[in-house]
Amino acid sequence: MKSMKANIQILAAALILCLIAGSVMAQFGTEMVYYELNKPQRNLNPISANDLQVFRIDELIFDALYSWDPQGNIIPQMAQGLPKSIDDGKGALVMLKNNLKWPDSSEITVDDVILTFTKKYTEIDDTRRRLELIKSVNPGEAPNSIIFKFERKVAHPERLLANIFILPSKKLDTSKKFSYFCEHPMGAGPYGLDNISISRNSYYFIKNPNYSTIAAGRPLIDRVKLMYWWSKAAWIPNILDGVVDILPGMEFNPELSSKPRIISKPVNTNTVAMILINTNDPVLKNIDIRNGLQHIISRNDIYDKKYFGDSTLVLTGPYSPASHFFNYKVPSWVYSPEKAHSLFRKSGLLTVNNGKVMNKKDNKQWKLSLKTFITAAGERENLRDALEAVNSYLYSGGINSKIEYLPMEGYVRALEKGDFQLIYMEITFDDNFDIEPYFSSSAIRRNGGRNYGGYSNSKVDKAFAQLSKSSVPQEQQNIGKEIHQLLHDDPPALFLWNLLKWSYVRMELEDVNIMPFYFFSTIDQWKKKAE
Amino acid sequence: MLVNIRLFNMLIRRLSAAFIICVILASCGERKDKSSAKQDLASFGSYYAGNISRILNADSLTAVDSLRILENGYYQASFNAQLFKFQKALAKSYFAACHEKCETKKCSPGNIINAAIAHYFDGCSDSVLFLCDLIDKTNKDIPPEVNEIKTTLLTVMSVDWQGKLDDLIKTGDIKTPTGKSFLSIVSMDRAYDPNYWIDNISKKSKGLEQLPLRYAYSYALALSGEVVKAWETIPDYAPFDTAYPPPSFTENLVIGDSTLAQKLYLPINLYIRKQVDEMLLIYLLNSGYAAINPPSAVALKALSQIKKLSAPEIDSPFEASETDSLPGSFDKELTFILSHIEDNQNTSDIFKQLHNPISRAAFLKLLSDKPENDYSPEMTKLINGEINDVRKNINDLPEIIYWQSSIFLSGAIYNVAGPVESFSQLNNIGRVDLSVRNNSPEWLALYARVGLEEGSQISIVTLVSFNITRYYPYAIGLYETMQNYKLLCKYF
Repeated sequence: MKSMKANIQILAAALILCLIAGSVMAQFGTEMVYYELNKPQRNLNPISANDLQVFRIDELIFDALYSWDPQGNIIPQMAQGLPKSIDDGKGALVMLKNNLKWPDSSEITVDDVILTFTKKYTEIDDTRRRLELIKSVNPGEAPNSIIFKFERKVAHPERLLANIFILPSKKLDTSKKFSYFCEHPMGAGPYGLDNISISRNSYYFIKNPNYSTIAAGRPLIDRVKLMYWWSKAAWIPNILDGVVDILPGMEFNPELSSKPRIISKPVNTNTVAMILINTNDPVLKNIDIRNGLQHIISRNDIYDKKYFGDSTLVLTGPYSPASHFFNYKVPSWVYSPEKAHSLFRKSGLLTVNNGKVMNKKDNKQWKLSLKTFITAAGERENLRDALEAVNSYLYSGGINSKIEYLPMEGYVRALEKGDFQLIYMEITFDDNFDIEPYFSSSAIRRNGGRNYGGYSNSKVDKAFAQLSKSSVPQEQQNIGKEIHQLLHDDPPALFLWNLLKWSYVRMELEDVNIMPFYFFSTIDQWKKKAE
Repeated sequence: MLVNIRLFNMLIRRLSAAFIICVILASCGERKDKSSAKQDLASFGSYYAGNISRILNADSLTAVDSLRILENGYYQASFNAQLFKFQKALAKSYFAACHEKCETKKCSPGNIINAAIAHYFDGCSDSVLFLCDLIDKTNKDIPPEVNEIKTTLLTVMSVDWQGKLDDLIKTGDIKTPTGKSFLSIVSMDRAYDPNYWIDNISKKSKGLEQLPLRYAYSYALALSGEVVKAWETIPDYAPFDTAYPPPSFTENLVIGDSTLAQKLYLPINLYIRKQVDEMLLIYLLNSGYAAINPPSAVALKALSQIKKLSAPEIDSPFEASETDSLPGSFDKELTFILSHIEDNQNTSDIFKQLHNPISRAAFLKLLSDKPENDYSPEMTKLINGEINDVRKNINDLPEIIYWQSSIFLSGAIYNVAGPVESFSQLNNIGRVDLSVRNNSPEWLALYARVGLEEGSQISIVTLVSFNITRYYPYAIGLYETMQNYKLLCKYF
């Protein structure tokens, strides 16, 4: 929908469809890496940001016009140099490198780039909302040149175009071919998919023989294997024994952190945890009740005890402190059952008798259900404990609350259909933290919208609209900070905490750089030395 | 001086050697109960100023208090020195980003003067002159604070700076609180009479109501000899004031159809804080507090010297023969390495005689400070080996040992290997969530600086700067600048 133009670089990827994979691993054997994955699936749709694990696999297979180097500098990947701004910033001229080849040795052409951005190959909704800023893409007059036209002035088109995977037009000349392509992807990236073994929970990749046309001499590792282990207990021996070389997005592990042969690095995956509130519920629709719920749990206490961390990572709104939209002037929610009860009473819908929160409508204790997904034994105990603690706070606050653990399929169904009162959710963002699809009114029914709780606030909608129109970063920041405040004051969720992950890498694997969102964006430069 | 001297003298007479074991030294040999140790660190690690103040104002003094005040003075001075380095690095990085890395020649006058001040404090006069020249080429409205600071910088950079600086002060042309604050510290650092500024600031209308001048006033007091009073008058010192202080100034940016205000946090206030903290530490180490427990004071003096905190010369309580007969205690080891660091004795011979992780790490830090060890593979290997030893025991080491040794080792590896390689090693030393509660604030500030220079984990650096801010609100400018830095380099 063009009416809701993306203003900031998006690629917000919901983990919700793959949360079950608390443990992901991938492995480069003598020639590989391991990584934390969901159970292997065959659909490797390269245009969906919905499934983070798939997106990260696609990083191996596909390349883009531009990417980021480990130090955060934008670099040309398939493009020749940086784009030239035209039409007073509302357009850009991009040159494709000469003599690029797909893995099957056919030529990579301007047509491939145009098809990628015009998206004529599929009717599937594209959730990469930043692409809505692109009005048209056409061949330029010079060979290998492409003219992009934008909806508004874009100061840095290379950043807008970064990490958008270029697709081969000849494989997608009819829309029917796209689903086949998703299972048999071919991209210009450093690796090609060799095989998927569902029974062995593994993906196998081999070096793209023509990747040297993009980056001479790369990739430096010939074969890569990504593996999934359901058991957390398997992580430690597997990496210690060299079965896998890297665990890129793990929870903190004291044992691995103390092993000199394992390099540990924190990775801010820009993941925020929340309990989404269904505002279609007649009681939860009330702002006083939603605010009251904020005060009935002690986030600090839960986070400190269950995540062994510091409550500075407890959220005060939708943005984490790592975001440029985080508004540090927004106060924390103070734990105060008294304040919660006072707000419940103020709502006119609930009252409190003898410590019990009563629904005035039926004069019975107010019931609340918190839905979440089942995790395997040994997986994410801290999350389970944290949610149990939330439930205890609700219960001790006088609410007749319960937790419902659902199988992943049931959880996703409940989320998407809005069949919940409260539901646990994690969202992982890239560095641009686009939350509009989750909390704007237009995202309730829009294809690709994820406003599962049916949240609606006209001020928030207005701010999102301003954000999309603004091309001035400082102005965007001010609007983002205002949104943080607005969603604190009229909360669509109980925003919980920012989750910090760690990557563990065997020291034989060198030049590894794990970006918060694009784990494998520099994988072509990784190398493995013999032990 | 607020110490009760009578009680103090009484304590000196009565305290036994066993009783006066320093907290630092005691913790070197024992493993504390984890939970209680953490509890202690959460309080004294986060609120050095509060602890110092409490003891300074106490009616009575215990032996533990005397040690606590020394330790807190040491931690506070170490932390703010490191935080100041981070702020300087951030001002320079931001300039690089808006001038070249992420934007081309888009720096505002405020961004440029911020970097110029950072270079000034680092003694890089060529960079300062280049940046001052650049301000005029921005073709943007120049805030008065920027003009005034530029004038001051150009004045002190001139050949006949003494007369010109004198004229500049007397004319009264520098009027803004921030400009005047900078002028005052620049002049006092060049031996201008601090009493002039004490009078000037305190007697002028609203002089002490303006935050930048209150900082300058504290600095002038410290230089005039009133160190404790100076320290007590530093504004916005946690935990006394938990409100976020205002920026040094704001400037209007005209971008397209919009006019936006940009907050600038200059490294002036933190410079003053760092300087006063160091002077307080020296004062404490030379005071009666140190006399209660000479070995502990020696250890802290040695640690301060190794960190270049301008600590006083060590008046060692040990006989020469004692320090030559290592292995000895931690304080003896430190004294030993300080006295032998300039010797041409084989490094490994000295290193082998050191048994405490802190003194081993401190020794490596001292070696790494020598220019001949820049990018030395042997030194890198030696330091990495020691880092690995710390890692092996990371979950068992007492917090103090872990804190101090990781700081020295981090500094050492940075010196010899540069930011890219050292950041990788620094990551191995971090604990759990990079929070102030679980890590040494000083180490976090060091980590943030190296991470900023390395450049691959800016989100993490932003988070760390936020964590620091929550405990030390005066550092809010660092977090806000990091946020802006991220925005500058990512938006399209």
